[in-house]
Amino acid sequence: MKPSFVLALILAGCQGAKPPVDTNKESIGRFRISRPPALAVAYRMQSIYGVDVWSATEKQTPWSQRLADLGLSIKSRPALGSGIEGVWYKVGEDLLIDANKGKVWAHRGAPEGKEAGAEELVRDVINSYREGARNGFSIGPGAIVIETSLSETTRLQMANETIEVEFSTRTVQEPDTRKFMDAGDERDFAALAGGSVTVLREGERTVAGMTGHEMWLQISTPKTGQHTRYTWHFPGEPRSAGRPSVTLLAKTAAAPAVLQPVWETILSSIEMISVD
Amino acid sequence: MSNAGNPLVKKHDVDWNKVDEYKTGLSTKLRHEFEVRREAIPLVFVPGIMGSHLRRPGLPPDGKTDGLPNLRWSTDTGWVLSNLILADSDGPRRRALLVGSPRQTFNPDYLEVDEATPPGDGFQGIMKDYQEFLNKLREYKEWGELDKYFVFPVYAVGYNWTDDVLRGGKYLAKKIDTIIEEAKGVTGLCEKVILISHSMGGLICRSASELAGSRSKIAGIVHGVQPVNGSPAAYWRVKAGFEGGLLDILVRRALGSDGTRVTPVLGNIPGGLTLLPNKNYLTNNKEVGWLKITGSAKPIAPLPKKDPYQEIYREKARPKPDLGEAPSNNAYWGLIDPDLLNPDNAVVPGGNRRDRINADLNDPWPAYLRSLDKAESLHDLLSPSQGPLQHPQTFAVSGTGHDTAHVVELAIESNWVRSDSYPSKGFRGFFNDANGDRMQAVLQEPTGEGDGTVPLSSAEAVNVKGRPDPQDKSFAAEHQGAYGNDFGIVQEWAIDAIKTMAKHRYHEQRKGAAAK
Repeated sequence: MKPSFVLALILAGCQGAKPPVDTNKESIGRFRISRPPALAVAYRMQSIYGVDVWSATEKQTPWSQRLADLGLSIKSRPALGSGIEGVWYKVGEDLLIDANKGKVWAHRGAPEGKEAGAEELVRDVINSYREGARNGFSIGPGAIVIETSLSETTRLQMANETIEVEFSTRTVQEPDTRKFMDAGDERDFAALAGGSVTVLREGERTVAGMTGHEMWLQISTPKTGQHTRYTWHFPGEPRSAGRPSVTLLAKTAAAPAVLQPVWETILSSIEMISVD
Repeated sequence: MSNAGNPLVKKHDVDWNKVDEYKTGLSTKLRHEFEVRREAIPLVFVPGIMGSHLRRPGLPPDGKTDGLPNLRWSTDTGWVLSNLILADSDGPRRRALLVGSPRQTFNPDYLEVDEATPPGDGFQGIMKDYQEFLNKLREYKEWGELDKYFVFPVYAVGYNWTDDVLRGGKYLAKKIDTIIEEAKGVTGLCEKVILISHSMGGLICRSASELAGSRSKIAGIVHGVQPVNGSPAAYWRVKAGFEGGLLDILVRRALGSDGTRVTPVLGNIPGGLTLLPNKNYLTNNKEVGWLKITGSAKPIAPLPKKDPYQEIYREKARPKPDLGEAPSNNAYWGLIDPDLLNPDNAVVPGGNRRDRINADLNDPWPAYLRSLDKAESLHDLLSPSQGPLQHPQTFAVSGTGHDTAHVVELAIESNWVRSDSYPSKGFRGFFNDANGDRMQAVLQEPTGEGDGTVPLSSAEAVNVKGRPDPQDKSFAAEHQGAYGNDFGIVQEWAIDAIKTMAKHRYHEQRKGAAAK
C-alpha cells in the first residue's frame, strides 16, 4: 500500500463519518451515473417547477459581477427572504429572474404581472437545497429536497477530445415513443453526402428497470469520414418524476471501439435516486 | 488621370454612360486619351430559409455555449452530422439552437449570419450548394456586347432567416449600400445591383426594394420559386413534419420529421411563419379556401373564408377532445398546438400547487402570437389586397412537376384504434361527432402543381404578361435545388433575365445621356 494512501485513510478515519468520495459518480435529477475518468463534465442543466437550478462551480460568475453584467436591463430586486438575493431583468421581450443563495443559483422567466408566482417557485426551490443530500432532485453536490414536480428536466454533457456523451431526462405527460434514431433517415442523409450507414446494434435493453430502445450506427461519408453514434431511449411513464423519459446519446468521429467501453460504463451504471 | 507614360499624352477615365457629354477645358497642346470606365452591376444572391449559416453573436463559431454549438445552423455535412442527428435534434434541442433556452422567447438579436470578417463576397455565410450556380455566374463569359459597358461581380447576402422579413429587408438594404460602395471603390462606377432570390429570399428582396427604400439602387430582381403569397406546405409541415425526397433531407433534419419536432421551431420564429399562406393566397384553382375538411356527412366549408390568421393561425389547435366531450368542439385544424411550442417548458395539467403555478406562468401562446403578428404585418405590407408589391424590373421562375400542397386536405373517417396525433410525417385530428362516435381527420398527402413546396399559383403571383424575354417562366424544377446544376435550364433562364435587366440599365442610361 502506498504511504500517501495510508495517510489518506488515517485522515479519513480521523474525520469520522465521511464515506470515501467516488469521483466518477455524477448525480443529476433523479439519476446517478458513472462518468468514465477520461470524460469531463462539459455542461449540466437541471430544472424543476420550471426553475433552472444549479450549484456554483469555480467558473461561476460572482453575484456582484452578474449584477454588473445585467446593468441597465435590471428592472427590480425582489425581496425573496432567507438570505436569497434576486433580480428581475429583461432580455428582448423576456422578463427573467436570477437568484442566488450561497452556492445555489436559480433562474426562470415569467409574464409581466405574474412575477409573484415565479418568485415563490424560485424561493421554494432554493430554500429546499440540501448540501450533500443523496436523495431528492440532484444538482450535483446536493439536492433539491422538495415535493416531486410534473415538470422536471435535466441534461448532462460529458466529453473529451474524441467522444461526446449526453444524458438527458424529461418528465412526460405521455410516454415519448418517437424514434430517436432512424437508420432509414440516416441512410438517406449519408447517401446525399455520398456515404453509407451500418447498423451495429438495434434492440431493446433494460437498464435500472427501464426498458429502452438501443441503437448503434456507424456513418461514413467521403468528406467527413466516420461517425459513430449510440443511443438508448426510455419513453418514460406518464406524470412520473421518478421514471421520466431518458435519453443517452454518445458520438465519436473515432472508431466504434473507442466508444463502446465508455458507452457500456455509462449505460450500465444508470441508477435511480429515490424521490423521497 | 495620369500622363506618366508620355508627357504629350494625357489619359482620362470617363464613365461609359457619360461618353456623350462634352469635355471642356482640355489643353490643345496635349493628346488626350479617354478610357471608358465600365459600370459594376453586382449580382447579389439572396438565399431561401435555412440557406444562411447562423451563429451566436460575439462567440467563436467553433466553440460551445450552454451545451450547444455557437455555430447554430450550418448546412455543411460535418456540422449536420455532428449536430442534427435525430437523437439530439428533437423539438427542444431544435428550439434551443434557434430560439434559446426554454425560458427565452424569440429575440431577433439571438443569432447573426456566420459571415467572414470582413464579409467579402458573402459566400461563407450561405449554403454551399448555392455556390454551384454562383461560381457559374462568376465565371460566365458570354455577356456579349454588355461586356463593353458592365462588369458583374457576384455577391451573396445571408440573413437571419429566423427573424421577420421586414427586418430582413432592412438588413439587405444596408448590405446593398455596402456592396455598391465596395464595387464603386473597385471600378469607380456602381449605382445599382441586380438581386437574385431563392424562395424566401424573394420576400426579403421585395421587402428591401419596396419597404426599406432600396428600389432605386436595384436594377432588377430575378425571383426563383418565391412563395409570393405563402404556401399551404408550411401549414402541412407544422402539422406533420417535413417530407420529400433526397434534396429535402437537410430541411427535414433542420426542421423535423413530425409535428412535435417542427412546431417548436417554426412556431417560434417569425421567419418561418412568414411562409404561411397570406390573405391573398389562392389555390391553383383560384379558390380562397385552401384548408379542406372532407368526408363529413355534413359539408364543411373550406377555410379560410377570408382571413387565415383569424380562422386558422390564431385558433389554438387541440388535436384531441377532452375526456367525455361529445360532440367535441376541438379545433384540431388550428395551426399550432400550444403544448408543442416549448416542450421543455410544457404545461402539464394537474399536479401540486407549485405545478399549477408553473403551468400558469408557462403559457407559450403570447410569444407565438407576437411572432405571428410580425408575419401578418409583413404580409399586409408586402402583399396588400390589390396585389404583391414588386420591383418594376422583375422576372420570376416557378417550379412544376412535383406534388405540392396547393390545398391541405383533412379527410374524416371513423376511428377505432388510433390515438397518436403526430406520427412521423402525418397528422390526425381526433373528435367525437354528433352521435358521440369517435372520428379522426387524417392529413392527406399533397397533390397539386408546383415545385414540391410552393404551388404554382403562389410562385406565379408576381408574374406579369408582356414582360420582355426571357419572360416569367415555369420549368420542371424542384424547390430546394431549383438553381442547382440539375436544373441548368433555370440557371440559363436566370442569366438571360440578368442580361435583359442589364440591357434595360443600358437603355435607361443612354436615354439619360441623349436627353442631356
